[in-house]
Amino acid sequence: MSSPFYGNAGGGGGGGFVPKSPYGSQESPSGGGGRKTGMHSLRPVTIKQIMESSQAFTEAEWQIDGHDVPSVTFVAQVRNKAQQATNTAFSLEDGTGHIDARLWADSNDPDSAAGGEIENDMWVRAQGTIKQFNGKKHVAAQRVRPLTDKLEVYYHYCEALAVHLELTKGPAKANGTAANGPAPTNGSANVHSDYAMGGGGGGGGSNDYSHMPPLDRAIMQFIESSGNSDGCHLTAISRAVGRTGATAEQINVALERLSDDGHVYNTLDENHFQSVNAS
Amino acid sequence: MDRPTPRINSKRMQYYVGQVVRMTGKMLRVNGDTAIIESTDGGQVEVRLSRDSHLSDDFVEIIGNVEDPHTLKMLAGCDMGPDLDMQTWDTMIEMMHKFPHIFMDPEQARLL
Repeated sequence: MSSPFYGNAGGGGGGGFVPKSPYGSQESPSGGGGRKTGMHSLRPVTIKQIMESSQAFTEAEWQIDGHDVPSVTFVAQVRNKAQQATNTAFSLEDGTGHIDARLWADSNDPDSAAGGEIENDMWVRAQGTIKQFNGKKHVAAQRVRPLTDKLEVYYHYCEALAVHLELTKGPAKANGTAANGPAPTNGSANVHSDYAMGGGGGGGGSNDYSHMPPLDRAIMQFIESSGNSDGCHLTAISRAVGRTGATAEQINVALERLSDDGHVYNTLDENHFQSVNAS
Repeated sequence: MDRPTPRINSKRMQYYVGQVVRMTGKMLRVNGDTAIIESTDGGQVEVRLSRDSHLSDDFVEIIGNVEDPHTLKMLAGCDMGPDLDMQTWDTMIEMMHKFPHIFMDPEQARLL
């Protein structure tokens, strides 16, 4: 559709239509393509982490462990509560720190407004965004609800700790028990040791398939290392991972599993496989 | 409570004398203004209850000042329900002291 427009405008020079306006309006959506990924990610944190969060400059995204935290979720005990016309202010404490949170009333649903069921000394789960006013941090809460099971307090700490460790020390490493995945084949010991060597040597990939059975992992690494935009043919995959002792049937089952789980997809035909992480 | 209150079990009491801590446990018996609770690691601790305490559940969390290695002077407390997995809770306490950065001042942690 654009080619006749372009041809006329370029050749005639004085066409009876204005080519600028349609082009101009088409450009604007692509111009705003700088969206950040993970803009709405929700991170489990302790209050101490909120108090220690930082931002590069005013209005910048708050960061914890060097990663953006658009919203946070945490558990805490209510130490004080002040109900106001449009919002409720909570003073929250979880043993790691202390912070104020403000829950604004939902104008569409005045009945559930601003945590009326919450009382002092209750444990609650809050979700919101970090704000700073006059040099003092607080949380603008979207939601504050009472905890019914107190074990949630500790499971939340487990979660916050797991995320903190993953961001500061990298993802959990595969341990020696990886071989008891869903593919306990007779050749699995060989496959596993082979992977261990391959992983040590060529560990440059940013994707971690440590949670997968060894054969699946080997396939994923082979497909990604090939660098072919059309993916890899089944024969090439079989040749690459087959020398570890896996049979053709095992490879087929593994590919089917990877496909079902959304790690690979077919490209040219059903015998070509490409990783979803390949660029 | 400006400073974090570390969560501890009975084994750690001796290292926290004079500090405010949190301890979770099972209420074994109450005698006047003292209570005996079984900490998550199985050790027993005497709690000198605050005058306005109204703990009623089997499991409680006490925020208190460690007076000596066996006695906690309660400042506040809250009910933690009729049923609690003490072992899970104790494991989490160990994790908190192993990775203290997000839970307390690192010098407050005590790895056993």
